[in-house]
Amino acid sequence: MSQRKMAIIVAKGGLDEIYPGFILASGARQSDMSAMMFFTFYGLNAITEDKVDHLHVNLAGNAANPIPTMLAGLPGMEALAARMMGKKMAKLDIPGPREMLKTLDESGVDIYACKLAMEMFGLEKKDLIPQVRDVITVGDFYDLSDDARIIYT
Amino acid sequence: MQEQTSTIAGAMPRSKATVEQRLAALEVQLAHITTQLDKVVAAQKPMVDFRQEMEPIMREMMDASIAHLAHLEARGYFDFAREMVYLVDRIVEDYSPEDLHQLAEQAANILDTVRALTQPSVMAVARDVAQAFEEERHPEPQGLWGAWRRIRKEKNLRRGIGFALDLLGRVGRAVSRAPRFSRAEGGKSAAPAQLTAPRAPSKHNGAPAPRSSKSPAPPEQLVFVADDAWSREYASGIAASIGMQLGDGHFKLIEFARDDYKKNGSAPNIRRITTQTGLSTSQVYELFPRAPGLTISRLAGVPKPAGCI
Repeated sequence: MSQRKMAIIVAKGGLDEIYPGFILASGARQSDMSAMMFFTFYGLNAITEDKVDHLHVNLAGNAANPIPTMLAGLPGMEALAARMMGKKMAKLDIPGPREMLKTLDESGVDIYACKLAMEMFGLEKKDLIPQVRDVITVGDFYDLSDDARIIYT
Repeated sequence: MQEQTSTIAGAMPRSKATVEQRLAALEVQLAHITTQLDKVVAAQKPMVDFRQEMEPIMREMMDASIAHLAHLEARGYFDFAREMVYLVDRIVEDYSPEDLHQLAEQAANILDTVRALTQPSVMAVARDVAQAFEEERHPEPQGLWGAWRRIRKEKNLRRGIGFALDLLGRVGRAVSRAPRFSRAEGGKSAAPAQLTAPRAPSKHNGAPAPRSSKSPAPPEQLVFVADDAWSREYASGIAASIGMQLGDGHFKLIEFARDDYKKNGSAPNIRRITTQTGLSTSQVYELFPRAPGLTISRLAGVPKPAGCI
């Protein structure tokens, strides 16, 4: 059997919204599958050099979040939640986003950024973290993810 | 024993003593049989008592049903018969002989349940509750606020809620334990819970649709290999079977995984391997290009790595 292949699309940039993609990608590599990640729209925050260390947790409008939406909208709440989540992750020895991306790159996950979204946000390749392999279009994405199972997170 | 007596009889002429001995033995046996018989009779007695007690009740029931029948006859016997036929029809249609067989097998269970329900303590509670129906003719409508106030004030109410919650917990446990009735199987697999549900209509009796075209292979299980069974040669043997050649770099990680498992009771994942040994993730992947965590576990003779990273 040829090697299985996963393509994971990350389209949102909350701390809680990027980790499922990270875990899926690293799990795929550990299960002897090849894996690629495609960051688009707000997901680009996770691979943007000056934003990757300041990702927040989505609180407002999140039904599973115990803080009422009215309070969750207050300034600073998201940063507070991100700090709390960061502490918990450190306790469980889960690496932060930057280190996680480095580890993923080292385990052989190919990381790509979306060209259209980069243009929309006014970003260039030099604004992204070094682990990003390339900036690609959706057509390139389909070529690269041929035969892969595609997961949208 | 027979042999013994015959040798005795052959060895010496039948004296009076031997005959008496044998008679005494017979007497002992007879006494034994008598006690057994007493026991049997004693065991029979409850049955006899039961019949004696049941007889008037049965007669009463018969009388009542006959009277009822007579009444029905007066109102229109044939209508009743027609209804009866319909009823029997429905039973035959909905329940299979297997269902009835299961019912018979469950008879002891059912009697146990009835006995438990009719214990004096249970009956006393039931009587109290029934009395409440007599006394509370005009209960006040109660809102959420009022209910909360009453719960705060009345200890008995709280106790009742506690009991009801316990009861619900038990019901939940029982429900989760009871085997589920599957209509697709047509109630064929014998399980007591199926008694309550009628047989599925014939149009649903076909084979259940498969859930997915192919079911995934069961995941591989890894177990700990004891120290006297594990050696570097053991690991090398497995490595050779998957086309790997082990060097010192490999063994550093393999032996770390083994020690770590023995220390912590769980096999290390890649994250733990890299942070504890100082190797980078890419170095680990260079040594074990395919599914490193799992491969290291397999070679080290420990279970699968715990955790997701």
